[in-house]
Amino acid sequence: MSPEGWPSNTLEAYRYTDLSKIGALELPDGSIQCTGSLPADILTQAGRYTLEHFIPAARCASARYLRVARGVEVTLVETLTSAAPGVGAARQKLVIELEDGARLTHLRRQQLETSAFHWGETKITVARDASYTYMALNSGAALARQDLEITLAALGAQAAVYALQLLSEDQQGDLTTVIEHQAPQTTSDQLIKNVLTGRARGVYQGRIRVAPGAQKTNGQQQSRALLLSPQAEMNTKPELEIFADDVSCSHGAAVGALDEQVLYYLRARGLSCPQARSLLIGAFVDEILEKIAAPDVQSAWQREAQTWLQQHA
Amino acid sequence: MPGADPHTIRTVAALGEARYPHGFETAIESDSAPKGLGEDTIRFISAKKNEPDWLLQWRLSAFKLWQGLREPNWAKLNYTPVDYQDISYYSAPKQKTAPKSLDEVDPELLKTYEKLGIPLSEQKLLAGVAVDAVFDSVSVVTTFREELKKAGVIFCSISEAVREHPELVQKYLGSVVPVADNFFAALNCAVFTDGSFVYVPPGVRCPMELSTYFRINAKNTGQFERTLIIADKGSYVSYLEGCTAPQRDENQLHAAVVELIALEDAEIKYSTVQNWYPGDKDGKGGIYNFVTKRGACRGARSKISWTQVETGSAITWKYPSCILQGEGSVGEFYSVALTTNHQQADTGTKMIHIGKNSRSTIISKGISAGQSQNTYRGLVRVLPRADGAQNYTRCDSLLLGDRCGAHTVPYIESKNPTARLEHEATASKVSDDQLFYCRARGLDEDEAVGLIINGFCREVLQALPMEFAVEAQKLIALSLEGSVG
Amino acid sequence: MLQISDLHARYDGKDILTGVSLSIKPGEVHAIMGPNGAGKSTLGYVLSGRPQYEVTSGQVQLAGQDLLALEPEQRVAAGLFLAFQYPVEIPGVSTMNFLRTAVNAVRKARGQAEHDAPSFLRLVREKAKALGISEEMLKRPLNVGFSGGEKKRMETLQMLLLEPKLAVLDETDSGLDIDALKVVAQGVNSLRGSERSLLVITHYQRLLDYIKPDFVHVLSAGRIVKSGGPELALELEAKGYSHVA
Repeated sequence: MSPEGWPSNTLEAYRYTDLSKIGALELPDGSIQCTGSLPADILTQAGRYTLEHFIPAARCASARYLRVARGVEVTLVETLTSAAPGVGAARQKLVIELEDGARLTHLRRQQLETSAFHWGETKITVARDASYTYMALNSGAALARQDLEITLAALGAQAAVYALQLLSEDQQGDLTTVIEHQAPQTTSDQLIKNVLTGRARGVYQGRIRVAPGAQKTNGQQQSRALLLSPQAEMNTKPELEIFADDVSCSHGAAVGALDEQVLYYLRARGLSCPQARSLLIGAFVDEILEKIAAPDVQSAWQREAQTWLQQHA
Repeated sequence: MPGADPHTIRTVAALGEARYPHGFETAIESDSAPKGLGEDTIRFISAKKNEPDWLLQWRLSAFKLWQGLREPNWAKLNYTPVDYQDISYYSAPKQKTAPKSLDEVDPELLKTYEKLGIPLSEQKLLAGVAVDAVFDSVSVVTTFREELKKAGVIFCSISEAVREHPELVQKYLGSVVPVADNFFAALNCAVFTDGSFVYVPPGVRCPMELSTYFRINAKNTGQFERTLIIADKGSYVSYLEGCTAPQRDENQLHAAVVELIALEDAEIKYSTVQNWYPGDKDGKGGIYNFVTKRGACRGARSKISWTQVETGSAITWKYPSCILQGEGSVGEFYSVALTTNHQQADTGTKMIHIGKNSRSTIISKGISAGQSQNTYRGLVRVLPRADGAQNYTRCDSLLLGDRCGAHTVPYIESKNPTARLEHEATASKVSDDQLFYCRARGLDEDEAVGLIINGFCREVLQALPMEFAVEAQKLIALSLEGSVG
Repeated sequence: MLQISDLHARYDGKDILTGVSLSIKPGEVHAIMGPNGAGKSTLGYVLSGRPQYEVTSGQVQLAGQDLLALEPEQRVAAGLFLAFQYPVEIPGVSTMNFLRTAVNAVRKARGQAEHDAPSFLRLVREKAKALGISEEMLKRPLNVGFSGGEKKRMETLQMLLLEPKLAVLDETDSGLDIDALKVVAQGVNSLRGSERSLLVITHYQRLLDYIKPDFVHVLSAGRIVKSGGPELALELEAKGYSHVA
C-alpha cells in the first residue's frame, strides 16, 4: 500500500480533516515495526493476542489481515507507539473477518508522539451471530484519523464502539465510523467521548446505514464532547441513513463545557472548584473506561487518562 | 415482506395513488421569452420589467459568476440533469396594461386562484391576510395595499419595489445571500422575474398576515422568484407562502431566493406550505425545487422563525437558515417534510451563531412513504465569539413501508466552550403498539395512522399561523389519502 | 447563629430581595413563608452563594463569620447547608463516591479527620436506612432517575452527613407524599439540638406540622413583612397571604 494519495478536505467524508498535508510532508521512507503475539492470520484458538506497531520518524505504511474462526472468542490488544521522537507519518490498515458466532474485543491504544501523523483504517465484517467490540483510547499524534468501517453482514451480528479521545494543545483527532447494517436483527451501539483543551480539535463522524430489508435493526449512537478551553473545537456529524422501516435507530450529540449548575451544586456540598471539576471530568471519562472487560488494560488506560487529566484538564 | 404488517403494505399502496387537486392548467394567453439562457435573455427580462441599469448590471455580473459555478452534488438527490438552455426564463399572462385594481385583473386568473382556494377579491379573503399573487414570472395582484399603507408597511411585488423603493432594494438585495453563494442562487440573481417585497418600519407590528401565492402555469418555464423582507427595529411581521403547479409529464425548474433581514428587536415569522406538483406515482414529472432561503438576525434580540410544510416537488433542495449576528438573537426552524411515491427531499437548516447568547431551535419531522427518499441536513455552527450560544435540535423520521428511505445528516460545529449544543434524532415506523392502542379505542387503521402522523407533526404544525395550520393538516391528509379516511 | 441585616439581592437584572433582616439563635427553628415569587428560594441561593445571584447590599454572618465573603464550598465548611428544591442530576458520578468526596472535603476544611472507607460506608448505611434509602440507590449516579421523593431523601441524607450548624430547607415538602414527608421530617428533626438551627422555606403549612417552628416570618416582595410564633402559619393557612402581605 502506498502512503501517497492522502485525501483532502474537499471530499465530504474528509471535510473536517485534511490528510493531504501529510502527503506533502518531506519525510524519509521507513517501515512500521510490528510485533506481538498473533500466531497467524487465522485465529482458531480462543485467547488474548497483542499487535504492537512502532512508528519510525519516517513515512510508512502497513496492512494486516485477520480472521477469527467460527465460534472463537478473542481479545486483541493493539497499540501504536512512536519508535523514535520526531515526525512520522503512518498509514495503517487492518482488515478483520469474524466468522459465524466469533467474538472479538479489540482494544486499540493510539499513543504516538504529538508530532506524528496517522491515518488508520480498520475494516471489519461480522458474520452471523458474531460480535465485535471496539474500544479505543486516543491521546497521541498531531493529526490522527481513524476510520472504522463495520459491516454487519448476517442475521444477529453485533457491533459496539466505545472510544475516548483526550486531546490538548494543537492536536487534532478524527474518529469516523461507518456501520452497515446489511442483515435483519443486527445491533450496533456507539459511545464516543472527546475531552479537548488548548487549541485541540476533535472530530467525530458516524454513519449508521440500514440497508433495504435489514428489518428489526437496532442502531444507537451517542457523541459527547467536553470543551475545557476557550479555543478548543469540536465538529460532530452523526448520520443516519435508513432504508428499512422496522428499525429502532437514534443518535444524540452534545457539546459544551462543564455544567455551571452542577459545579455549583457540588460546591454547595463542600467540594472545591478543582475537586468538583475533576470529579465531573473523571465521571465523563469513566463512562467509557469502565466498559473495558480486561482488568489490566482497564487499569492501565485509567492510569493514563488520569495522568493526562492531571496535566491538561 | 419481512416485518411489514398488512396495514403498512396497504398504506404504501394507497400512497401510490395520492391525488393532486391543484394539477389543472389555466388556458391563458401568455407572453414568453424564447427558450435558452444568455446575456440576451437577461437583457430581455430586464427590459420587459423596465429595470434601472444598476439592476441589469447586477444580473449580468451574477450570470458571469454562475457560468463559473457547478451544480452542487453533495445532497442525497438523484435526478436527470437540467438542461438550462431548454427552459423559458420568462412567461407572463398577456395583459394590455398593468392592472390598477382587482377589477382590471383577467377574470381567468382570478378564477385560477379561486380554484386553488385563494380568492383574491378582498371581500372574500380571510380577514387579516394580504396576498401577493405571483403567476409564472409576474405578480398579478397584491391585496389590502391601502390598509397596509396606513400602517406604513410596504408590501408589493419586487418589480414594483425596484421602481418605487430603489434605496431599500439596493441596500438589502443580495446582502444576506451573496450573488455567488451557490449555483442556484446565482442563477436566480441573473434571471429572477418577480416575487414579494416587504418593509416594516421601526416599531410597527404588521396589522395582518402577509402572504404570497406562487403558481407555475406555463409549460417549459422556470420560476425564479425573489423575496426580500426587511423588519426594521422593533417591528414584527408574519409572512406566509404557498405554491402549486399544474400536473405535467416534464420536470419544471423552480429556483427561488428569499432574504430576510431583522434589525434590533425585530421579529420575522416566515411560513411556507410548499405543494408544487410532486410528479405521478411512477416518478414522472414534478417540480425541481432548488431554493435558497436565508435570514440575517442583524440586530440585538432579533428573531427569525422559519416554519415549513413540504409535501410537493419531485426534488427538494432547501435549507432555510439563520445568521445569528445580533447579541441574544433567536433563530427557529420548524419543518415537516413528507415524501411519497418517488419524491426526493434533502432539506434542513443552517444556524450560524455569531452573536453572544444567540439561541436556536430546530425541530424537524420527516415522513417517508412509497419509494421516496427523505433527508434532513442541518448545520449548527458556533463561532469563537458566540459566548453562551445555545442550540437544541430534534429530528424525527417516520418510515411508512420498507421501500423508502429516511436520512439524517447533522453537522455540529462548536468553537466556543461556553456554547451548549444538543442534538437528538430518531427513526422509526408507526409503532404497532400505538396503532393497537388507537384501535382499541375505536379508531380504524386509517384513522389511527392519520392521528399518529398528525401527532408526530404537531410541534411543527402548531408553529404555523392558524389559517395555514388547517390547510397544512388537510394537505398532509390529502398527500396520504387512501390511508387516512 | 445567623444574622442577616438589610440584605438586597438581584438576579437576572431584577431586584428580588429588597431588605431582608433576620436573626436566628442556636437551636431555633424559623420558617419563612410567602407567596410564589416573594423571593424565598432566592434567599436560600444567596445564602449558599449561587453564581449569578448578586448581593447589592447588606450583611450575613454565620456563627460570627462573614458568609458573603466565602466561596460556596467554604460556606459549607462554615456550617451552612442548603437542601435544594430541585437537586441536580449528575450522570456518571455514583452517589456513594459523591458522598464520600463531599464529606471528607468538608471534614478536612473543618480540621477534622477524614473517614476511612469502611467506617464511612457504615455511617452512610446506617443513616440511609433510617431514611429508607436503599443500597441500590447509593450505587446509582447521583439523583439520576430518582423520583421526587427519593431526591428529597437524598438531600436529607447529605444534610445529616455534613452536620451543618444552620440548615436551610427550600420547599423540602414539594413533591412528597405524606409518608415520605414524615420520613424526611423525622430525619430533619433528628438533627435538631441546642447547637443547630433550621431555616425552613415553605409555601404551605403542611411541613410545619412535622417540623415545628419557633418563629414564622412572611416574606413578600423581597422583604419580611410580618413575624410571629407558630400560630402565624395557621393564620396564613386559614386566611391566605393576601390577608397578611
